[in-house]
Amino acid sequence: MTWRLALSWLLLTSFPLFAAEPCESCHLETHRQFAATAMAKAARSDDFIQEWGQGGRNPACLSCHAPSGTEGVVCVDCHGLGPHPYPRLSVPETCARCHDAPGESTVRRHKTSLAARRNLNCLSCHVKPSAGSHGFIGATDPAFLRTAALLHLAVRNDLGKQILVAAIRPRTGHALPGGTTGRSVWLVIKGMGRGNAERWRETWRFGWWQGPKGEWEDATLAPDIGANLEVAEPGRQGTDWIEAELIFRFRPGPFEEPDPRQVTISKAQMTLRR
Amino acid sequence: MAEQEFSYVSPDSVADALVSPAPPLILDARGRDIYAEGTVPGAVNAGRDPKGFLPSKGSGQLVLILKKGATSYLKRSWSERLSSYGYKVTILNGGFDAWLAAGLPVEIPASGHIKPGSTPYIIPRGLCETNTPAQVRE
Repeated sequence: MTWRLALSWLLLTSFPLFAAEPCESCHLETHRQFAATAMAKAARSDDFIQEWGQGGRNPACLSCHAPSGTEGVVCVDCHGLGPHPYPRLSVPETCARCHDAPGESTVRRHKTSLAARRNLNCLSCHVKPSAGSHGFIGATDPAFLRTAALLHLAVRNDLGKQILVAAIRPRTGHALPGGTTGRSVWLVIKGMGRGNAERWRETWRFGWWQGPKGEWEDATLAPDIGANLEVAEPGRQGTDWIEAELIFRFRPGPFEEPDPRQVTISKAQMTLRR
Repeated sequence: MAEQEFSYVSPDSVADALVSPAPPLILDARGRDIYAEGTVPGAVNAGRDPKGFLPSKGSGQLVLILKKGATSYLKRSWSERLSSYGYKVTILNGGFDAWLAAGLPVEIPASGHIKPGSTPYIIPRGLCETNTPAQVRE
């Protein structure tokens, strides 16, 4: 009898060793919530498949995109292999295993943020309460993405010259764009004139850059700080008003390359005083 | 507008508001040199001349950082100008010194940001670093 009890205990506490995906047999609702997330399909997204292919299908990428060899992240990738019941996860440390992996600084940047000082963590924003404890949301949700930053415009007088300031204020509590080197945020500022004609345009890109030796540099927008971009003499060439747009792209490359999934995070417009 | 009619906000309240769903715009009106030495994270250098400052129309909260010993005249000039564009103006109580005393983070404003086409950086095509340690500009 004792050995039967022991075997039962072993089976109950060692699910992941004996079955590929057994958690749902008891945690059906949690499984349903997580299955709808982008993390659950991290190795199946078009962006990943394309970039992974371009990169020579390096198996190192799969250590975060498909740690257990499935189409994305599964329960044990975060919760471990037991024994059951698993201890409560430590956040953000658990998330940092992938979100501070090479090519990411999301959690590192979060730790320097005012949000972290206020004891907010990843789950404070990335769990949709209406979708349950495992209904994670992120950049792939356009409505969520549109809350990621605010854009303000102003003109100040600096030693007799007009200076246009575009202030980007991230509300993410971590680097923007978060995620990998495969994402970028662009600020496009246009000087507009009579006839709705564009008089000038300036663009900035935030994300990861590559140096001449292939090294990477983190030029994401820091939490809280963001960026204040300045343009001298915005009224030049007959400019009457300014339009600015902050755009999130799932493509890291040049702005001219189309990204059908890009989302405008914030827009601003102001009329210049003559 | 008498001194007691200005609306003040404490550094801790500003820090709380910055992580709220509708964070305020922070304007640093102490002048370029002082601003460059350190300011509230994300603050915009508004210059020192309220008449030379033109904001876009707004409706949200705005926190003003003024230099130590700012006169009521200066406070009134800034408040009236910004209010006329729709902002709800408050003044950081105790100024930037109080922000420092509260132990809150400070930003040393960056001198510039990388633009596409500038050297030596190029726009990557988005490949993961595949276990090469990230180089982070701190």
